[in-house]
Amino acid sequence: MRIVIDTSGLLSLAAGNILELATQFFDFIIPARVKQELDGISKNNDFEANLAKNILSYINDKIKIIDAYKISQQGELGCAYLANELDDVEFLITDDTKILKKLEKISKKEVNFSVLIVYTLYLSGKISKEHGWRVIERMSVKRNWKDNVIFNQAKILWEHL
Amino acid sequence: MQTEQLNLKLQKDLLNEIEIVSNVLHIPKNEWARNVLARQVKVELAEHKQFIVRQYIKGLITKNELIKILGEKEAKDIDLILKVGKRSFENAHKLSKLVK
Repeated sequence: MRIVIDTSGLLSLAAGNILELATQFFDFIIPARVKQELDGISKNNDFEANLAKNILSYINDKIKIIDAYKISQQGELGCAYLANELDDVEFLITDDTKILKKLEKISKKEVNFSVLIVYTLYLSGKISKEHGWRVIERMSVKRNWKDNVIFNQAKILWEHL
Repeated sequence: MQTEQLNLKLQKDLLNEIEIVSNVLHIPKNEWARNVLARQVKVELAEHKQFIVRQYIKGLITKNELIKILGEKEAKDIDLILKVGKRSFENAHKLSKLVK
């Protein structure tokens, strides 16, 4: 199952320590711009840099780069253009709340947060409820308080699963 | 940047401690206090906003109350995030049937 995912979504999955498992069940696709963003982040010396290095180790093997005809300098928009062009892609994943409104406008595919992957792994029996909870806890490391709304809501919804 | 004055009376001990920190850092104590205050306000504001949004998600406060606290634009942004979050939750039910 092919899913287009942007830098913020990949960083969340890596922070949740669930990227390895997720790549066993989903074929993640990114435009080249997302790899460039990850390259840039990996040059810093902080937690996100380590996450980016980890993600880069999956690229080409488990995360494929495909470029859309319509290219954007912004990774998130590039992802939306790519998802629009690929018929077999149903979802676009982002955790970037700043650009959400714009993505909702331009994406013909449904925009979802990375927690979609965690819920799905739990509902399909690949991880336990406790494991999923720990993943969501680890994912909420964002600096922007609005981004953390994603994980606050996810925790509340998780209790109803 | 427009500024306004905030007058504070501090305990002598605290003031002495601030004096030490500002000497060590070679920063005037007013500037140091301003930076610390600005940083702490950001942290607390984010925490309070998170708390309010959690209350909203749980249905413990209304949309109007959310707008009153965060303003219309922030409340709109929150609603969009929650809409996409709910969608992600619902789509997982569909997607889980396809995962082998």
